Amino acid sequence: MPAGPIPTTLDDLEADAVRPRPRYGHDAHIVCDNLVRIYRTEGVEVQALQGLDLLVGKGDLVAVVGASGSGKSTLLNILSGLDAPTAGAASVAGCDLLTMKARDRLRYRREVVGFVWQQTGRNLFSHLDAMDNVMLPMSYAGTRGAAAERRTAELLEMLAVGHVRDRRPGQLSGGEQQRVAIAVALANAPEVLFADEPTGELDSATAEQVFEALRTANRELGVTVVVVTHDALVAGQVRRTVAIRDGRTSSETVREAVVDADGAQRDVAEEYVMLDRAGRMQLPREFVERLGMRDRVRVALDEDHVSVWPTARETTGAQAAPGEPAV
Amino acid sequence: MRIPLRTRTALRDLRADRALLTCLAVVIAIGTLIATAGPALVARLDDRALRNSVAMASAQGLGLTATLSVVGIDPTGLGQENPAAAPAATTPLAVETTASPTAASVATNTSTTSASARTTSARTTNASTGTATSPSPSPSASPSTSPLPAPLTTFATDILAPLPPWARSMLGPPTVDLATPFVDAAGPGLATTGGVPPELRVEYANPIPGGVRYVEGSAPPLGPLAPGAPAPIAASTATRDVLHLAVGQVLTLSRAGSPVGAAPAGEAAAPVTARVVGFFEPVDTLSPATATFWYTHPWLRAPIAGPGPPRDGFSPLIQRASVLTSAPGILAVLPAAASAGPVTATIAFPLAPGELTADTAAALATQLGRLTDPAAGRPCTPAVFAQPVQCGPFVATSAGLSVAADIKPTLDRFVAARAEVWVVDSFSLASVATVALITLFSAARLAVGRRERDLVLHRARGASIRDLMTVRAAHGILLTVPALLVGWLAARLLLHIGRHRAQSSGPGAGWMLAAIAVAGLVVLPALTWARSRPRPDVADRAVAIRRRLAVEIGILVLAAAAVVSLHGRGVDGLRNAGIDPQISLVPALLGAVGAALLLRLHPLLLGGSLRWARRRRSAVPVLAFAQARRGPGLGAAGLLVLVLTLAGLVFGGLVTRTVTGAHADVANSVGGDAVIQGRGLIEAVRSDVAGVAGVQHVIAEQTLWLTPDTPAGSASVTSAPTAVPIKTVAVDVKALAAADPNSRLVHLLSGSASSNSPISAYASASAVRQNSATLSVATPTGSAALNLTAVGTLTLADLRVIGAELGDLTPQDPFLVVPLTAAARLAPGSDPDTLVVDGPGIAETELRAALPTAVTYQVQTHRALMSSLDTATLTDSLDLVAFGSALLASAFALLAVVLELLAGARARGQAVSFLRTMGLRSRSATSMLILQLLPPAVLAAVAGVGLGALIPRLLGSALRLRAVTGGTAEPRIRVDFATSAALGAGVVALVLLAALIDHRLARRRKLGAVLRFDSR
Repeated sequence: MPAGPIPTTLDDLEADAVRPRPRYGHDAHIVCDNLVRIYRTEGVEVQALQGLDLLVGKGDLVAVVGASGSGKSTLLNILSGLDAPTAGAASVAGCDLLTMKARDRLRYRREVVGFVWQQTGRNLFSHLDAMDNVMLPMSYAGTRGAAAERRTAELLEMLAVGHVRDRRPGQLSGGEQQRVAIAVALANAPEVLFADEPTGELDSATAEQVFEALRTANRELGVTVVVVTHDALVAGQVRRTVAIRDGRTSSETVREAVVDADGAQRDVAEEYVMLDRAGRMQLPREFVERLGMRDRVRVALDEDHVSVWPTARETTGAQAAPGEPAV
Repeated sequence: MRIPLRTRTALRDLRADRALLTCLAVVIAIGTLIATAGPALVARLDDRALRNSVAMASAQGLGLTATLSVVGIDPTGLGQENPAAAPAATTPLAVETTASPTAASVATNTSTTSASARTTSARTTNASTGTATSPSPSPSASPSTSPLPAPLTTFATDILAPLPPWARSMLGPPTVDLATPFVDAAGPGLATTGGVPPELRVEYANPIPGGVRYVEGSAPPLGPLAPGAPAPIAASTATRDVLHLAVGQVLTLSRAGSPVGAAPAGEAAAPVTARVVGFFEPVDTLSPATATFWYTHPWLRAPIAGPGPPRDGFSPLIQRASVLTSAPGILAVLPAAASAGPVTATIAFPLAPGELTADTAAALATQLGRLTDPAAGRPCTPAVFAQPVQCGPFVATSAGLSVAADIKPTLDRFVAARAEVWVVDSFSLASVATVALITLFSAARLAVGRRERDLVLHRARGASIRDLMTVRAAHGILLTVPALLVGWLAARLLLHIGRHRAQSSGPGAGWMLAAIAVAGLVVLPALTWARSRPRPDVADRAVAIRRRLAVEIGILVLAAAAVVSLHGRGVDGLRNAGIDPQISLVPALLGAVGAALLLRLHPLLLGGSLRWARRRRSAVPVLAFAQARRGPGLGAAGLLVLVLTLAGLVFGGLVTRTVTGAHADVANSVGGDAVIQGRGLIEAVRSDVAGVAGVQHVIAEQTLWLTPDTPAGSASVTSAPTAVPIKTVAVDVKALAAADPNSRLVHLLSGSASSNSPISAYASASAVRQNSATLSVATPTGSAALNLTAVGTLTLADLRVIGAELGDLTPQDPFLVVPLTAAARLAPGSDPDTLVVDGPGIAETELRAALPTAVTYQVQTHRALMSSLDTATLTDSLDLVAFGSALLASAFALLAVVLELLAGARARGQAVSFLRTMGLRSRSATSMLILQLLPPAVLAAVAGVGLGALIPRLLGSALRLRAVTGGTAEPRIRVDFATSAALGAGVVALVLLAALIDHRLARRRKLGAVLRFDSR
């Protein structure tokens, strides 16, 4: 929110209301605005996303983490155009995912985004060799012949799997399969690459190779990469990690290289709590449990920060009377 | 050259799905084979039934008959000199030749004048030559072997002129029969009976079926007769022996009491003489082609004694016989014989069974019907003031030429029966087609379903739905076109075997082939589209319930509308034999209703089963029923297949049983295990028949026609206000009592022993209105009184023993039944004409061996009648379609059920594998599957049997079997409950077999292949 005098009169309020504001996430490459997704499975209604907000800038390499069932895969399915949200708004590279027609959706999948899944069976056709697997998306997009072969070779070389171009998935190691899958996802030069647990079935060394391939794609091709994972190791290798809890973004960790006074460079990771446009934020669970916060907290505005205290009764274990402020 | 990437991918998918796609191809090929060859094969059986039916009718003398009462003949046409035009008279004589091949060939070369006559004459010659060769060492050809005189041939051709050429080709060569009335014969040495001379009838019959063999003398010469020369005649050896005839003997023929020529007042009475030129014996009197001729010409084979015209107050017994003559002979006799009574010329055209086809039967019947219309063109001069008319070579009475198509009812009955059978066939074929389509759908769904993950990956990689559908459409083309070709070629090959020169092709199968082709081409891309399209979530459960209800109501309404429409239309709406689209639609709709009902009932049954299993605390049933509650296991398609298949089987069996049962009823209605009909069945003959091995009882019967003296007196004969004769059947009460002591006829007819007392007679309800009355009838010796007992409650079963005598009469028609002893008073000198023989397994040949050889008898055994009913009606075609449909539907159903199980095999395998990790045994896993499938299988069995039994009611008036069964009324529908129950059990067994097959296939899957620790 822009800084300025707080409106005190009705005229000021009206002027503030009509003043043009930039759209939420107008400068972001990926925008999720209050996303809601409800689905029914075996008669049970499940609210997978409960108003999720997320902004990803162009060229970012972002990890989305969260416990099982937190809504990570639902978010990825929506962003990849394979699923539609129940409510809210989502756009990727300027494509509004809610209003896309079938033809737009097809173009979106062909040209705008690429996907990498955890299981190799979902990434590669077992009957095609690595080169054909990479060329297949190009053939759907209309790129054929020498141009397709050249780009395929480049991609495979870039991801360090050029030597397996003539092998089928069954003849590749897990890491090679996933790197070929990344090449497949990059075949049509997408702006965004989504990866769902790309290292979930791999050992740590191989996972490192795969993640290096993702970083290479991000770095050399400028592709925005969103990786969904629950692997803390993977999450530690990206600049920005977004945590999802109960269908909402709960916190965000930003890693930066800091040079100290001695000139030494060290990585600093700082975790932030997400604040939505309504001013709501979600406190970390351990904070809440440590201080025994329940039902209500006391908030105070200081010079440059906001303080949050548990109520006095909660601190002492005594029951406060309703409406009585904490001391 | 490197194959394009997407083509390689498509080919790889083709290889990966080869098993299921082969299934599809096989279903398409079989469907094509059935659609192409099925109707034609059924039509061939129809042809055979028609030919058998027509052959049987022809054997009974039915055909197309032209008759006219002849008062004179143009002599120029029949080999006699025309006194008024002598030069022209010699030409036609050359047509008639002796039967020696050389003479015949010469005659053929020098005969006819018109092209049409030449053609017909040549055909007649060939046909006659083939049937009349003599095995005798010194054979003499009979007149039957000679070709018809050209004028007769031309006349016969002219009679058929109104028919189109194709209809004319279905009529065989004509036979001509000219017979004088019986006239007194006198001559030296001729045997008389008590001084009363015998009566002879001079007959020209050409050709005689089977021919005759001359054992003495020769056939009457075919050459012209000199004016005033005696007519040449030939008699049978039996006639020779009885009448003491000799070759060369000259007989004088005269009317009773006066010479023939003296009959008409004022007409010059020239004496008519005839010379005996030979004696013959019939070559064959037993075969179907000849028996009827000899049965209907008994006097030609041997003299028959009978009461003659009253002389001096009484009717003496005289011998009557027929003799053969040539065309010039009949010409010499006819002008004078015509004054003694009506001289009938009969030109019969038998149908040529080999030329008949079922497809043209209706059109032929129509054409024959038009020909019999008096308004149709006749080759006769117009009648003017009751003056004689000229019809070809004949001068006939003003009534002219009368044409009767006795064979038409046979054709009409066949056409009606064929339409009835096609209703059943349509139903059966539609059931098979629906099951085949569902099988096709199941195989395609499984093929596409197995590739769902690939579809998702292709979509994720940028493939459009159209791209995916194109690949599947290519697969569809690759499997459908060869399958269609293979099916079509196989059908052509099959049809080439046993090909007949003239045969029906059956109803066109073009639309069926088109439907199969479209299904084969469309099913894969359509299912691919259905799997790939974005599917919106149905959040509201109520919406899903409403949708399901709407679909169910829609199906129910459609089925009800189709059934009501069928009821309204009836079988009359089905003018032509063929696959009726409306009837074809009904089984699919009814099956869908049954399946929808089952899907509703299934959860209830499972709930009950689950409660029962929980009470028993047995893990496997509980797990099985709990898992089955999540889905029927077989799915709607599987249930539909089972219901349809079973309903089709039950319905087919029901129809077959009804037809067979009705045939048995018809066969039983004639009574006894064998019936012998013919003249002279005297006591001695009856004793001989009774002595045949296996014969238990012989009941003699006789048909009389009694004319009431006082029609409106003491008895009220409804059908006889002007004393119309009533058919009266005399039956041997004593023999009947021995055969069936409980017979109601025995009870009714016993009691009239005295020769003067009134005769006890049973009268049908419509023959007399009072319960007890007397009826006076005229007899040769005066009159006799009949004591009538009207019993309106006698059923067909009560009258079964006289069924052969009653013929087409029903218990409601007017007739009388009297004891055989009374027949002697009512018709003195007559003998029983029918013997009803009891004794299962009697052989016709043994019965014939016990009968006199001089008389031709009709012998029909119960077994032969059943066989003839089956072959002459469309039972074979009905059985073929029912059996073939049952076989195919069962095979398709098994395949469809296995495919349905395979579709859910992965999910089921995961569940079972999960349970196996907890210790479930492999055998228990199979038990689980069986328990899961048992409720829907049992439900499907019950629904299928119920639907099959209900179909006759649902089809209503559209299902008629009267013409098929050959009965006089619509047959009673017979449901074979035992067989139906067995079929229901068979369906349950079918499902269990499918479960075992699925189990076998499941054993090939490793536990880890379906259940992984990391799978989500």
